[in-house]
Amino acid sequence: MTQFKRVASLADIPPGTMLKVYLGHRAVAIYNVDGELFATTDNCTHETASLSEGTLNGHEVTCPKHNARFDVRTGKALCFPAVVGLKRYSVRVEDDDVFIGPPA
Amino acid sequence: MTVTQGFTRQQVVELSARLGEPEWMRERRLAAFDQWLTAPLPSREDEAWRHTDLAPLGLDDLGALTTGNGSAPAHQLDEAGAAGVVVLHDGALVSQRLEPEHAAAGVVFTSLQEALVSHPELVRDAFMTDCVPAAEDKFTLLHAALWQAGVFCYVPRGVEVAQPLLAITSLGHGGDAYLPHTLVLADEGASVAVAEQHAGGEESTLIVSVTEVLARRGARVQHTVVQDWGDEVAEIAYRRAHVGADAEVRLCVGSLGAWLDKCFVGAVLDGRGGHCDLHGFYFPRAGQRVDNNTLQEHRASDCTSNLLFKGAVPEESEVVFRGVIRVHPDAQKTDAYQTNNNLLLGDDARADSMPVLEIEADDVKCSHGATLGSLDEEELFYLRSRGLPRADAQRMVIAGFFEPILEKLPLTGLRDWVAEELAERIERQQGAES
Ligand code: FES
Repeated sequence: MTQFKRVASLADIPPGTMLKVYLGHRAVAIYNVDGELFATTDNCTHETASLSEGTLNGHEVTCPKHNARFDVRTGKALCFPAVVGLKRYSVRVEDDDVFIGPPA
Repeated sequence: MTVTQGFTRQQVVELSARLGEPEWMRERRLAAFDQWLTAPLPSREDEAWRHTDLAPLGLDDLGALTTGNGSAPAHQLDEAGAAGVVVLHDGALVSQRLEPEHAAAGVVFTSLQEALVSHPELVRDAFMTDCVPAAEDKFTLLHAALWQAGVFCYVPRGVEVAQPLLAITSLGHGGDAYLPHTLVLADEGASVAVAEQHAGGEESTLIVSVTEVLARRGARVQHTVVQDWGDEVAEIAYRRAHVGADAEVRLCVGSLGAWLDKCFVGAVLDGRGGHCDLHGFYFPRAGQRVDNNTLQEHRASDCTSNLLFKGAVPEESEVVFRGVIRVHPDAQKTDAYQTNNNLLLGDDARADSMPVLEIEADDVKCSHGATLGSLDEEELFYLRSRGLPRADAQRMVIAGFFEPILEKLPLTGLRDWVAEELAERIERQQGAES
């Protein structure tokens, strides 16, 4: 677990919600999709916007700014205006603790 | 978000007393402090801050100024060729020298805190008034209230300092907030070059620095500052020249360290026939952010300004360039140019370049250009044409990319240091790839 850092408790991210945390100086968004957690960079790849302030629909997050959508499981950009995907991070849950690790 | 009300009026009063300042400076600090308390933080609606997430700066926990722990400056430059040297470490003046002939001609080169005591009249009119006004934003207000150290240079009318002056500002362990100021004042027809190295800082530190360069009528000034702060340091810097009639200013900012380097660099051309060159280079470490907001503000006619910012962007780094050319209605016959070149060194590197032209005069020449290159295309060219091994070709391409700016840096000591730092980053880049 050397590279993993505790960033939140599971109770902070109920199913269907997202949470912005910081890994060092980087903002990371954690998504809870029906009890399964995923994490990506929080910043949209189109311009600049915090994805965790957008909406999460199933495994798709929609950017609050110009509505680009990304698949939170793969990081893939699903529609215009984003073309570049999101970097993913590994997530681990132990009891109530959520850990973020190196890029997946 | 409300900012840290962690700083107190009492800290301002104590700092001012410790520095033994004139009363007017204490009054100005307090006035700035009172405004700072209620000034809003820049919001992400504000174009210049749109790309900056202030949350990781931990502003709410900030309430103290960096103090030294008795360490000595670690890295010093070769001073050869410098007509004067000022060394500040952890905010204290550690050493200074100036060639006697310049001192005899009335040149002053010392710490700002010293200058406030020895030459208060010179500081008074220039300090955070026309060039970088104290009330510009929340961070300049904080700086005006609590700046704790700095460099001061004054060159009297018609005096020429042929060799560059060198100022070194370093931090030991760092921590909390460090607010350094540089004030360069060149009177009519004076000529001077000031080069600064900013380095050090191990702990998480917020640096809010201000550099003011005032070139009166016909003066020629070159100011260079290269920072290599530690990885836990974040810097918000305001570096600006106020260019008088027929004056010529060259500003250069180099960014090598800090996890966040947000820099407002600009020139205000305020008298007819002034000229300014603005140069910037950056080569952050992986994961760092460089965010340059430049301003070429033409207020008077017949002025020229040229801007060239270029840098290499490694894996996971982000570089933002937002360059504003602003031409006021009276500034006819303006000639302003802006270029931003980025070299992406990884799939995950990110560079955004945004030119902004705000032109209110009709007889002007303004243009901008931006290029975004990746190493591979250019590297291929070298490999093909010279049969060089990949690593050598890479090194040559990156070094060549920086050369036009490097060759203009004053002082061999500064140039060698920057060249070494660039070489180290290139090597790390190659290590990351293989
Ligand atoms: S910033 Fe996210 S879609 Fe434009």
